[in-house]
This record gives sequence, structure tokens and C-alpha cells, in this order.
Amino acid sequence: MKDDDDEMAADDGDEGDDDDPDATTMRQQRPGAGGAIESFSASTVDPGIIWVGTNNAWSS
Amino acid sequence: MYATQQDSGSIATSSRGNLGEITPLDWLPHPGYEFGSIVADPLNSKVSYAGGPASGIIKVTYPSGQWINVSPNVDGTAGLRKVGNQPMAFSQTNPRELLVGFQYLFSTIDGGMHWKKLSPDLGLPKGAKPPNSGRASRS
Repeated sequence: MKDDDDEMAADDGDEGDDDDPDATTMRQQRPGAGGAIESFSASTVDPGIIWVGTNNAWSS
Repeated sequence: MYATQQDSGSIATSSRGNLGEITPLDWLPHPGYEFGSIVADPLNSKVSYAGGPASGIIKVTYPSGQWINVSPNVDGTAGLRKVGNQPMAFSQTNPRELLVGFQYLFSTIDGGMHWKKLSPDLGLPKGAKPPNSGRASRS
């Protein structure tokens, strides 16, 4: 049996573990599926500009 | 005030209480998710939007607490991707415009009935080298 602390440690905040009975659990991004937007912010000097940050990563 | 709670779902509370302090009587359940953003409609304080399970974006209306999925991702063929803490915010220049990040930046001005892509696909396949965006310089 898990207590709350164990549950948090077990899934470390991630969803979709084997113990999760919720069929509507958020689908995690599959490896190779590609990046997505992590954050965005409107320019404070130009209302037509929105800066966007992604989780695109590349290492040589 | 709204907040997400890891492993516990979302919660809402008044910013002041009628008993001289904020007590548990002022807290309400909120059908949002345990991650992501919750934003209040700047033009209607009874309406909020939150990231939901199954990559949804839900619109919540108090006092009933009724919620509906208004995400562009209800179209399964759209192939949308998102991060766990999906960014979502109302435009600072148009209080009717809700902005949400998938691999595209999306916008809606009618409460999620219709969505418009404001950007191309900004998410590269895993391992793909991002294009050189130029060299930072001082002028």
C-alpha cells in the first residue's frame, strides 16, 4: 500500500504510470514525436510580436 | 484565485473570506489538471480556462462548476502536441483573445469555439538540429 508520499515519489509527478486507472490521462509526448511550445510572452514594445520558447533540443 | 496541485488536481479560492480570514469554507474544487495553467477570463470572472487531462483545454463556469472541453485537440486528426505545463494566457492587447501553446501557437477569441494557428509548427522532430538563428550581437 502506498501513502501519499510514496505515490508522489513513485510517479514523480508524471502521469500514465501503470497504477493510474484514469483512462483520460494526459498523453505524454512520445519519443521522436517532436517538440512543442514550453512558454510564450508578448513583446512589451511591439504588440504584434509574441516570443515563443520550445523544448526543441539538439546535441552534437 | 486558481492553482494546480501535483497529484491533487486544481483548486480555487476567494482572495478574501467573510470570516476575517480565508478558511477552508472559501475553497472550491476546480476541474482543471494537476499541471499547467489556469487563467481567469478578464471579461467574466465566473469563467476560467485550464489545461485538462487528455491534452484538453477546459472552460469552467461558476457557480455551476460546469466544464466543457474546448481544446483544438478535440479533433484527433490535428496531431497536436503539448508539454505537461502547457502555456496559456490571455492577450495583453485583446482581453477576448486566449493564447495557448501546442507545437503551434493557437488563439481563440470566442471562448474556444474556433481556434486559429498564429505560428507554423515550431516543434522539431527529436534529434533534429535547430536552424541557426544567427549570431547575437551588440549594436
